Parts: sequence; C-alpha cells; structure tokens
Amino acid sequence: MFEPYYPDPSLKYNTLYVYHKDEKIEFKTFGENVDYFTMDYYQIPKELNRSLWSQPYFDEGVGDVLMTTYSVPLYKYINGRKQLVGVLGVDLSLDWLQQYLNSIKIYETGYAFLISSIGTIVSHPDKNVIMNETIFSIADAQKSQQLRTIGYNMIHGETSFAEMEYHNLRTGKLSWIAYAPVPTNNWSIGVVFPVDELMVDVNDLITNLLIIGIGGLAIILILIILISKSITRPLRILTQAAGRFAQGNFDVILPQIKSGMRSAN
Amino acid sequence: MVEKNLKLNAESVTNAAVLRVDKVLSTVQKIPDNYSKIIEASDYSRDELIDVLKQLVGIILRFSEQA
Repeated sequence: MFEPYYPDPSLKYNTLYVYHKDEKIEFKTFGENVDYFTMDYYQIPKELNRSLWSQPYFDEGVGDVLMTTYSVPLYKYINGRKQLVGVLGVDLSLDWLQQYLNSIKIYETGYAFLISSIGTIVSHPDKNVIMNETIFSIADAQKSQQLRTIGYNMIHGETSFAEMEYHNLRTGKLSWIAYAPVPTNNWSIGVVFPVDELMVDVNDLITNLLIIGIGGLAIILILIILISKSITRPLRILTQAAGRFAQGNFDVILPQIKSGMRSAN
Repeated sequence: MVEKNLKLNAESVTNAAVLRVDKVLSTVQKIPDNYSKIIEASDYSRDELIDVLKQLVGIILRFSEQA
C-alpha cells in the first residue's frame, strides 16, 4: 500500500495485494474500493513510525477468517529527505493459533485462551466469546473483580502462575489461572487449571494413606491387646485363686505351672 | 510440596504455549522486516515489486507449513 500518488502520480490508491488461494499465489489491486489510508493497519504504523501487529479482526473477504496484520512502514529518500512512501503489510490467519491453543487440554475441563493487547478474546474453547467479548466484559457479567484484575494484569504484560483463583467460565468451578504475555505482539495467553481435577489424585492418595495408617494402627493395637492378655492371663488366674485362698477357701486348686512360666518368691 | 509441583507444572504449560506462539509470530515478522529493507533500498518497477511480494508470500507459506 502506497502513499497517495506514489510512485505513480496518476494513482491516489495504489495497493499491490498478493495472496495465496487454491495452491496458487495470485495478485490483485483494490483501486478506490478500499480506502486504506484510514485503516488501522496503515494509519497506526504511519503515525507511530514503527512496525506493529494489528488487533485481531475478521476478514470477510476470505470467509470470515480471524486475521492479524503485521505492518512495516516503508521509507525512501526523496530529494535528500527520508519520507514515508507506503506500508508493507502481512496478513496472518489465526486459525493455526486457535487450533494449537484448543489442543491444550488440562485434565477434563481445563483449557487455554488468548487475549489481545486490549483484552479482546482471540482464542477460547467457547467460540461465541471470540471477538464478541473482552476479558473485562466477562468479568462484568460474572461480577468478578478478581477476573477484572487478572485481565488488567494480562494486558499489562504481567506473568502469574496459579497465584490467583477464579471461577472457570465453562464449569463455574473454582480454578487456578496461569498467564504470561506473548512478547512479540503483547497479547497474553492464559491457562485455566481446574483445582478439583488437579487435586483429585492428591486427595485419593491422602485418603488411601489415611486408610492404610488407621488400619495398621488398629491391627497393631489388637495384637498388643492379645499378646498382653496371653502374658498376663496366668497371673490373673493366680491372683483370683490367691484371693479365694485368702478368704479361707482352702479347696482352691492353684493353676499348674507350665513350661516357661515363672513365679516370684 | 504437591501444590508447589502443580504450580511448577502450570508454569511449564503456560510458558510452552507462549514460546510456541511467540516463535511463529517473531519469525513471520522478520520476513516483512527484511523485505521492507530490500524494497526501500531498490527501485523496483511495479511488476518486479509484485514478484518480490509473491516471493515474500511464498516464504511465509513455506514457514507456516513447517510450523
């Protein structure tokens, strides 16, 4: 895309659009059909004098595909002065990115999502929220100050791992959320970890350990009782016999001394 | 200890996702960055410029197929 009347002084709108379709690389020009001078992908890099990635957008021309554009301002030295002559843009479909993020499964209900630098949902397992919601509109709908804080941190390029909790958009259950920025375009990826599913193995382990521990203690206790009873049983019989003997019952038969039994003098 | 390990795993999963996405974007953006320097330094005719742009699209296609 060139500046008005550059390089051809007879053309105000001068776009060279090269694209891939049906295994072919083709070319077309838009003429006056697209007033690109006011488009973000042209105007913002021109005004900022630097390359940048656009916000995500649906490209209706190629079948409502979610796209982003990387725009590089082009300069030429004209009459000894460096002047902007156009913008070189590359449109990138975000299908691959959505497919990749949707392939991330955390246990049963965990998932990954992506937001743009202004919080727009770019990738999410729930297709209805993509480009229709921002993380802040979801926070408002859920009346979740915590999700709003997470969104604020995400668009400011902050990183947090499992330090904040929020209610999973899909299940409503308490979840951990980990997020980190994508350095190249300042978007941010979040990964939702369902706490109950994460902890289910740990809880099972704790339950099994408790059952084994309590069972072991009970068995040891029963063994101690049985052994101590077997050791003290002759003494108890002797004590009972001695008691009756002391009461004057001289017919009492004292227990037989068996092998290994000792008496005290 | 278990919770600490879970947090470390969360960190690894998130970092891996970020690295993969960032690698694709940063590689793609290098292509127009380099081509812009070539275009600025040359006086291509309209047809030559179209060929250069076709070459650029071809490189991005090849990269995206590999990625």
